[in-house]
Order: sequence, then structure tokens, then C-alpha cells
Amino acid sequence: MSFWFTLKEGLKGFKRARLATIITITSIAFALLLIGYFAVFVLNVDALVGDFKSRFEIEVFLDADVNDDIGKKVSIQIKALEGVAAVNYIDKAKAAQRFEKEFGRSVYDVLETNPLPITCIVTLKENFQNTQSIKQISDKIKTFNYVDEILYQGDLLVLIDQYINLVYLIAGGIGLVLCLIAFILLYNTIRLTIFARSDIIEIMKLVGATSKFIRRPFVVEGFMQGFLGSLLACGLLFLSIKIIIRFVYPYIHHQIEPYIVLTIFGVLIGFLSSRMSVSKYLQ
Amino acid sequence: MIEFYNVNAIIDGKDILKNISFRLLKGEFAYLVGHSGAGKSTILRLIYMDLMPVDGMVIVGPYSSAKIKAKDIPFLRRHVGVIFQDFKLLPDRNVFENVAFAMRVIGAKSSEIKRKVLRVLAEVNLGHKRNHYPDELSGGEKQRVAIARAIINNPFIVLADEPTGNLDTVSAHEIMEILEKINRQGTAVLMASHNEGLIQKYVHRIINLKDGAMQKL
Repeated sequence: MSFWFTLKEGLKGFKRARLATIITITSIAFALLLIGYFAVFVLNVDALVGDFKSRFEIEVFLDADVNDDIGKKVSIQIKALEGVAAVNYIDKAKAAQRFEKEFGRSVYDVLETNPLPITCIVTLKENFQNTQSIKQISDKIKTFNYVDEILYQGDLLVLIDQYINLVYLIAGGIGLVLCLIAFILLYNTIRLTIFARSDIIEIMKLVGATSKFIRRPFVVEGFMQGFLGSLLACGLLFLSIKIIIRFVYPYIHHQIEPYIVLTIFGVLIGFLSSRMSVSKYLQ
Repeated sequence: MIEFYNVNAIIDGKDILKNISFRLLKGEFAYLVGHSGAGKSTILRLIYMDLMPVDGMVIVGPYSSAKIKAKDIPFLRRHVGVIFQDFKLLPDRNVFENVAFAMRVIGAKSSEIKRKVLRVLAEVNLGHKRNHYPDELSGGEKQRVAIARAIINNPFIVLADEPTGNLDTVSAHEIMEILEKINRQGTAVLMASHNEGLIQKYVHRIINLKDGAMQKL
């Protein structure tokens, strides 16, 4: 069978059932749009968590009598640990400056001497920004000589790690349900269009068309409907996100990924649902 | 070429055909007659294997209902032309495309399709209406398009299910003349009909059915 005949027949299907085609494309677009909003939401939650974690720090306070040479050695020791991205070394003078910046008064005005210890502010590599790794690294640092105290917002991190997994789990579930709804919606809409064209299928069968031959134009049609539906969904998503950024909430992470996912999913859903519905009809 | 051996057929739980046996030879013309519901259309459906017998066996050329696989049925149908009382034309395609459709389905080349469709349309006297759509044609013309589509792939048999049922007398005779011509060229014809006038005028073998069983005349 010629490829062009299949393509032409598939495109003719658009013209033959204009209303059904418009309804199908619109249905796909709105189902995908819902998935798109959901994807944007999940990506934003992910980015927010990522941002928080990237700013996460472990503060390592050395003993008060430790001098600068020893402090620097400890700092190098910490830097050498697996998972440590950087160590910001704060000597006593810098610590005093920070004190003044935070409290508005010099430490010397209050105490006459500088009791502030040398501090190492440790940031971690992305893969190590989780509760377990942080605990392991801080436990290792604790074993180093001259380390007095370690501080980090462990509880908050545990909380985030716990809830973010729950959020991802729920998000995955909702995403799956949305995909299923979109699939069922399209499957049934395409089935209706196939029923509406049962005459042409009957004639095709009568003149000796194989199931493969009958199926192909419908699959091409479903593929095109999925593609156009996803384009419409992408357009609507883009516009609405731009409007939200401009008038409601300007901090939305607007990335390309949801658009790629929507297009692939639209095409896939169009292809699979049309193939399945026409196959079922032919059975 | 067509053989029925003790065929029984059931549709929706009802016995439609009971112990039918007959043989149709190559190039033969035969009528299937009987009142409505006698089983005429069912016999035709069994031949193009739209329905399978519950008992017995139908042989159509090299195909047997006992052995044929679902995937082979389209290939059997390419050797069997079928025409119906309600024409079954595609309303959104013109005469040429309606006939060409049967060739496109079997993957024929465009040049061959053009040459053959124009020849067959000329045979049924519709060459001048090749660009017309079905709703621009009379009943007789629509049936001639259906015949052209049925014979375009050179079937060894044409099955006609009440082909003159919706036509006036003149058109009905035109259709009969075309079927006669096809038959003279070597194609077998099995025609289900009520029309006693036509059966008496165009004399051929008659297979008489009553309540799903064969009757002697």
C-alpha cells in the first residue's frame, strides 16, 4: 500500500468528520493542558526544594583557642571529604565582622576580646544534599581534632525529605491518573469517529482490505490529532503561564520540559488510542 | 468453484440455513430465490465469509471455511465481487474514486488504476460520469458504479444481493444486461432476487430457498 495513499486517507478523515476532529483535538488539548499545569507545578516544587538544598550549609565551629594555621588545616581536611563542594573559611577577624554586621555592634565593644571561634561553612555537592549524607559528613567532621560544635538545620531537611517524597508520590499518582483520563477520553472520542465511519470500513472489508490497510489511515489521523492537540495545549500553557508570571506570581520557573513532554505524550496518545480503538472495532 | 456441503448457519441464535448443499460451476449464472428471511443473503455472506457455518463446509475457489484463517479472508474477497441493493458507495468520493478504491486496497499502481477504472467504467456506460458524486447519480447509475467496483479486480464470481430491488424496470433491465455481459465474459454470477419478471426473462438456474432449506422447484 502506498504511503501517500495512507497519508491522504488519514488527512481526508479530518475533512470528512470536521466536527468530530475539532472535538477530538480540543479534548486532547485540554487533557494535555491539565497535565502541563501539573508538570509545571511539580517542576516548580522541585526547583524550590533544589534551591533550598543548594543553599544548605553546615557550620563547623572550631575550639576557641585554635589558631589560624590549625584552622586552615582543619578546613583543608573538611574540603577533602567526599560530598563537600566548598568550605568557606571564616577566621576570628571575619567572624567579628559578621557579628558586627548581624548585631550592629562590634564584639570588642561588648567583651573587649574576641571569643568568636574560627568557623568553616561547608556546602555540599548536589547528590549529597540529603539527610543521610549530611549526617554522615557531619559525623566525620565531628571526629576531627579541634572541632567544637557542628550546626545545621537538620530537622527542616528531614521534614523536607520526608514530605517531598510524599509530594512526588502523590504527584506521580495524579499524573498517572491524568494520563489515563486523557487516554480514555481520546480512545473513546476516536472510537466514536470510527463508528461514524463504519460505512467506509465495511466497504474496505468488502473489497478485500486487510486489517492493516484499514487501520493505517485511522492511525495517521489519530497521530495528527494528537500532534495538533499537543500544539494547542502547548500554546495555551505558554500563554497562561506568561499571564500568571506577569499578573499573579512572577517567580514561576518556566522551562521547556513540560512542552516537550506534552508534545511527545500527545503524539503517543493519539497514535496508541487510535490504533487500539480501530483494532478493537475491527475485531 | 463454489461448493456448499451440508451447511447450517445460525444468526442471533436463530437457525437461518439448514443443511444446504449445492455447487456453482465456473462461469455459471444462478438465482437465489425465496421470500424474505429465507436465507438468500446468508448464503451470499457465507460465500464472502462474512459469516461462518456452524456445521458443514463452504468452499470458494481455493478457500475452505473449515481451514481459512481470519487474516486470509481479505484475500478471498479480492476474488469475489459483491453488489447490494443499497449500492454501498462512498458518498464523499466521485465515481472514479469509488471504483479505484477497490484497486487501491490491493495496492495497485496509479497508472494501472487509471487505465483499468476508465475501461471498466466504459463497460458499464459510465465513463462520462466519472467525476460525478453518488448523490448526483440515478439509482441505476449508482448500481452500475457498484458493479464496476465489484468487477474491477477480475473476480471469479459476482454476488448480487437484490441488485435491482431499489430500481425502476428500465434500470433493472440495464443492470441485468450488464450482469449477463459479465457472465458471458466468464465470471460466475450468483444473484439473490425477488423479481420474478427478471428471472423469467433472463433464464438461468434457480436455487430455491424456503425457511432456510433448499426446495425443489
